[in-house]
Amino acid sequence: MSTWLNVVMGISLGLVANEVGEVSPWLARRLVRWAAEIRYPGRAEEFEAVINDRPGKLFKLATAVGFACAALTYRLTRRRSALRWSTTGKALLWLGCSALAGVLFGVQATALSAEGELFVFMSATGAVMALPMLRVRLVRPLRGLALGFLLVGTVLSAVAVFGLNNTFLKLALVPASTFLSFVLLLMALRTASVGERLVVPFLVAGIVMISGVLAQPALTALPGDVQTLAFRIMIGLLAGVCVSVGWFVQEALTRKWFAPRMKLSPAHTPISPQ
Amino acid sequence: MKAVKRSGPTVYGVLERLEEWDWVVGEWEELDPGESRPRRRSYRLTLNGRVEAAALLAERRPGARGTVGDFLPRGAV
Repeated sequence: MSTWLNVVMGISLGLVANEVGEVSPWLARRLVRWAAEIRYPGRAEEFEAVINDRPGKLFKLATAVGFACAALTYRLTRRRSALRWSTTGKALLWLGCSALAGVLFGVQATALSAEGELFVFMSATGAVMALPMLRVRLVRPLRGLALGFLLVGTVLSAVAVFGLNNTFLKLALVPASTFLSFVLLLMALRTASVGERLVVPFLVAGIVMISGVLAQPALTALPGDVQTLAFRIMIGLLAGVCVSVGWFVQEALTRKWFAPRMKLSPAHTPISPQ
Repeated sequence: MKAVKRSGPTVYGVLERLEEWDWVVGEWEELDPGESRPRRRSYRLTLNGRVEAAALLAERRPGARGTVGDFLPRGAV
């Protein structure tokens, strides 16, 4: 019985192998036509010619599978954006990440001091200010950095002249230091490698919080206004950290979930020779 | 594909973009009436493409010898 089975199996496998060999060029043609329809419209015949020039039946099929995989990837990524997630989804994602940044900021800010209500108010202000910052596209990071330093410097100078009791200055100090921190971290995130990106803001947040704790004895010896000033700057820095995390998460998720936008100007945008 | 050592989908993705920008133009192969195989398509740089490619090479690889002249139309350099 086993001998008969071996004979039948041998013949069947031989036939199957032969048929696969015969079918593979046909399958390759079908695959490239499908790939052309999905990803490269109008190139079906061209691809068939490419397949035709490939030596060997299996090599033809392997080439066709390569085109089919590229087309499949294209279809899967494009289908998501075709559902208009590109507009609504991105907006929702942005709002979600902004809210997360605000919540993180609020939790950290309230943990800093026992003056609960005041810090909740300040953290809410910072979180609201954080929302537009998530949309900031810093084309030239150095310009943003200079602007951040200018804002903080201006507010601190105004504090030195008018004192900290000025309401406008109280409100301006947190966003100014938030912006500076955000720009600094954004630069750090852009230069850091992907795996280290999220470590940077958390590291900075840790350093700021530990510095705050260590500096507390020295700060308590200083006048009340200086203490408040230091706390507000620290809160601004932490807000910037949270905004940077939110910005990074939003950008990373957008890159992962949505197809990249390829709006390149033919005349002015050089392509990479890589 | 063989010359640039890149896969088919990569090369055709780039070609598609270059065609969109009018840097290259494709031409179908002319077959004899008796032939029934699929036609090949060949591509050549347009004048605009040559100038842009030369500028790009000059910008990215200023040390490369002969490349700019090779890409530019005759008499341009």
